[in-house]
Amino acid sequence: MLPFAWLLVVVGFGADDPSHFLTLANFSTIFGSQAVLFVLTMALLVPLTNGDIDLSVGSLSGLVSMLVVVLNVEHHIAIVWCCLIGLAAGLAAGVLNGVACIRFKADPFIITLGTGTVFAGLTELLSNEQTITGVSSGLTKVIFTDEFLGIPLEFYFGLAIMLVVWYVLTFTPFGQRALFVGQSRDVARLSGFRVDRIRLQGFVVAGFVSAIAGIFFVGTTGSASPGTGSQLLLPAYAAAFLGLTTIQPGRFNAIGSGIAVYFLATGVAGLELLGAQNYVQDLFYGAILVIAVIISRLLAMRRFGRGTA
Amino acid sequence: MRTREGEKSMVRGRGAIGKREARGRSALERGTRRFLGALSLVGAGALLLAACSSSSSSSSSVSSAKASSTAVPSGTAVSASTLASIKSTLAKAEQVPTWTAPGPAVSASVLKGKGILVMPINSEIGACNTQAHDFQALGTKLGANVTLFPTSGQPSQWETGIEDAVSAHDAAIVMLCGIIPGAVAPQLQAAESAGIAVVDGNYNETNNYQYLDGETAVEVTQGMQDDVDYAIVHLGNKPVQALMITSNSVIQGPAASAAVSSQISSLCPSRCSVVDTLDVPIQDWATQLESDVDSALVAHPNINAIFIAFDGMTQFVLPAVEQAHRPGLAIYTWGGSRSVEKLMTEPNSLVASDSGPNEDWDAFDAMDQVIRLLGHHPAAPVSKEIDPNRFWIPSNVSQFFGPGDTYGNEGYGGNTFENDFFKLWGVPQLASS
Repeated sequence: MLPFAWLLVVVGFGADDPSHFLTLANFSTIFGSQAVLFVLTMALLVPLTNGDIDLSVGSLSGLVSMLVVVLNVEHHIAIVWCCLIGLAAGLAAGVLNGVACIRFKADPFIITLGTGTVFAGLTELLSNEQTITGVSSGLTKVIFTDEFLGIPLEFYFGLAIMLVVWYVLTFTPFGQRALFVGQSRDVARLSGFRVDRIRLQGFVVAGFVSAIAGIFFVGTTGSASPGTGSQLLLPAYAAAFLGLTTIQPGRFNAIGSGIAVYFLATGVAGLELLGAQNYVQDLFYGAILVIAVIISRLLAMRRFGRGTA
Repeated sequence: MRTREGEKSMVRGRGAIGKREARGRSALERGTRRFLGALSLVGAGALLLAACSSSSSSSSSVSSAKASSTAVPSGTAVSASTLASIKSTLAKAEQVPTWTAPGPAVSASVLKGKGILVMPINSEIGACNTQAHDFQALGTKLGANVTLFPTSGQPSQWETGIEDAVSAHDAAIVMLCGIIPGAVAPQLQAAESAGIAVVDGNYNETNNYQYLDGETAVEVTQGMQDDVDYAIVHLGNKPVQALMITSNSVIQGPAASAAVSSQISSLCPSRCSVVDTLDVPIQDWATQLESDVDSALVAHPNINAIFIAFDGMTQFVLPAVEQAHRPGLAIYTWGGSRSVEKLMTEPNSLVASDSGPNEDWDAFDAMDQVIRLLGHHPAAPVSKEIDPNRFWIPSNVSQFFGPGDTYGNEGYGGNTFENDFFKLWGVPQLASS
C-alpha cells in the first residue's frame, strides 16, 4: 500500500510540475536531505519492536552532534576520536534509559521524556547555548560533500543501516526475541526469555544509532545547534508508524520505515515546489502520523480477528 | 458423547460465530476502506491547502516591473555609471564605522546596585547570545546586578523573564535582538506599573510601541541593500535573480525582505528580480531550511544569488547551496556573526558577503539607554542609538578577527567606541587602550 501511495505522490506531483519535480536534481535532494531523519527512524525500531517507546532519540542525537563539534572545534581533537566518543556517549545514554526503565519498572514514555529533556539541557550547557561551526572538513567530505550518482554518501550509509536493522530484526534470534517480547512480555517471560535483558539491548541499540544520526547531522551542516535533534522526533515517529502499514504490515520494520521516510520527504518536497508554507508541512506530518497509527490499529485488530477464527 | 442434535447445535453455533466473525471482518474491512478514503481526502485537502497557500506565497514573491533604462547595456544589471556608484558606496561600507554620541552626557553612577534583567530573543542565535553576555559583563563593570535570562525563542519564556524581573523588583529590563513587544504586552504592562524601564534592542525597524521606554537600532535595511549592491558586483554586473530567505518571527525580518526588494527595484527594475521568498521561523531553522532551499533551487534554476536576512541561518542553508552545484551561486547575508565570517575565510567559500554590527557595540547602545532612563533623562532617539554595520567580504574579513582568530572589537575600531561611551557616561577610568 505505502509503495503504491509513494508512487501516487510522485505521479501526482510529477504531473503537476514535471519540469521541476521529475528531475534528477529534485530526487537527489530528496534522498540526500533526509539521511539524518532516515537514521533516526531506524534508531526507534528496536525499542518499538520490544514494545518500548524511546522519546529521547532526537535530543540524544543533538547532544552527540554538539559533543562531536565541541571536541573537534574547541578542543582540537581529531574528528575520528570525536566520533568514537560520540558513539560511546550514545551507548551510555541507551544504557541509562534502559536501566532507568527496567530496573525501576518505570514507564519508558515518561523516563525517556525526562532523559530527552536532560540531553537537551546538556546540549545547551556544552554549547553555551550557541550554534558552533567549523568542524573538520574530513567529516563533511565523507558524509555530505562526496556523492555517488549525485546523492551524498550519507544516504547510502543510511541505506546500509536500514538493511542491517532489517536483517537483524527479521532473520536473527535477537530480532525474533525482540518481536516476541514486544507481542507479550508476560508470555515471553513465562517462556523463559530474559525480557529485561532484551529490552535493555533495545535501548542501547537506539542510543547507538541515534548517535550515528547526530554524527550525520554534523557531517551535513558542519555545525551543531542546541535544540536541533528534538525537532526530528515527530517526523521519525511518523515514519516508524507509517512503516507499520507496509512490507510487514502490523510489525515495525526497517524497510517499511525507510519507505515511509521517503514517502514523507517526497510529499513535503512536492508541497514545497507547489509553494506551500511551512505550516502545511506540519499539518502533513501530523496528519500522516495520526492516520498511520489508526491504520496500524486496524491492521492489528484485523489480525486479532483472524486469530480467533 | 455428541448427539446429532448436539452436532447440529455446534454447527449452528459455529455458523453463528462464523457469521458474527464474518460480519466483524467485513465491518473491519469497511472500516479500513473508510479510513483509506479518509486518507485520500486528507491528501487532497493538503494539496488544496498547498495550492491556496502557494497562491498566497507566490504573491509574496516580488518581481520588478519598471521599465529598463536605455543606458543599461543588454545582458547587464546596471549601467556603468551606476556600477561605479555602487562600488563607491561599498568601499565606504567596508571601512571601520565611526562613533557618534547618541545623546548628551549622562552619569553611569545611577546603575550602582540596580538590578537589570537582560533577555535575548533566542540564546541559540550566536550574535544575540554574545550581546547578552557582553551586556551582563558591562553592567557588572558599572556596578549593576545583571541577570541574564536565556531563552530558546519561545514567547512563553519571554513572558517568564519579564515576570521574574517584576518579582525581583529590577530597575530595568533589556530585551535583545528584537523581541516583539506585542507578544508580551500584559507582562510589559505589569513592568510599567512596577516602574521598570524597558529597552528593546534592535527594534528600530518599526514604529514605537507602547510599554517600551527606549530602543536601540541596527541597520538591517542598509546592510541588505549593501548586499544587493555587492551581488551585482560579484556577479560581474549580471542581472540578479534572488532567493530571499527571512524569518518574520524576528522583528527585522520583514524589513530585510523589503530592503532587498526595494534595492533591486531601484537599481535594476526590469532585469533583476526576487524570484522567491522563504519565511522560516527561528525554531525551524535547523530542520527545515535545508529542504526548503533545496526545493526553491530546484523550482527556480535561474536563481543566482541567495540573500539571507539573519546570518545565523547560513550554516543550515549551505548544504543546499553546495548540493546545487550551481557555479556563481553565493550567499549574501547580514549579521556580523563570527561563525559566518569564519566561513568566509575558507577557500571557495559560498558566503560572499556579510554586513553586520558589532555585538559589543550593541550592548553598549542598550546600556546607554538604560543609563538615560534610570537617570530620569529622555531616552536617546532610536535613530541616534545605532550600532553601525561594517561590510565584510573575503578581501577584508581577516580584519574581523583578533590575534589567534579570537573575536573582539578589532574589526570595529578596537576599543575606540567603548572608550567614547565610557567618557560619555563619566567613567573615563574604565577606558582602555
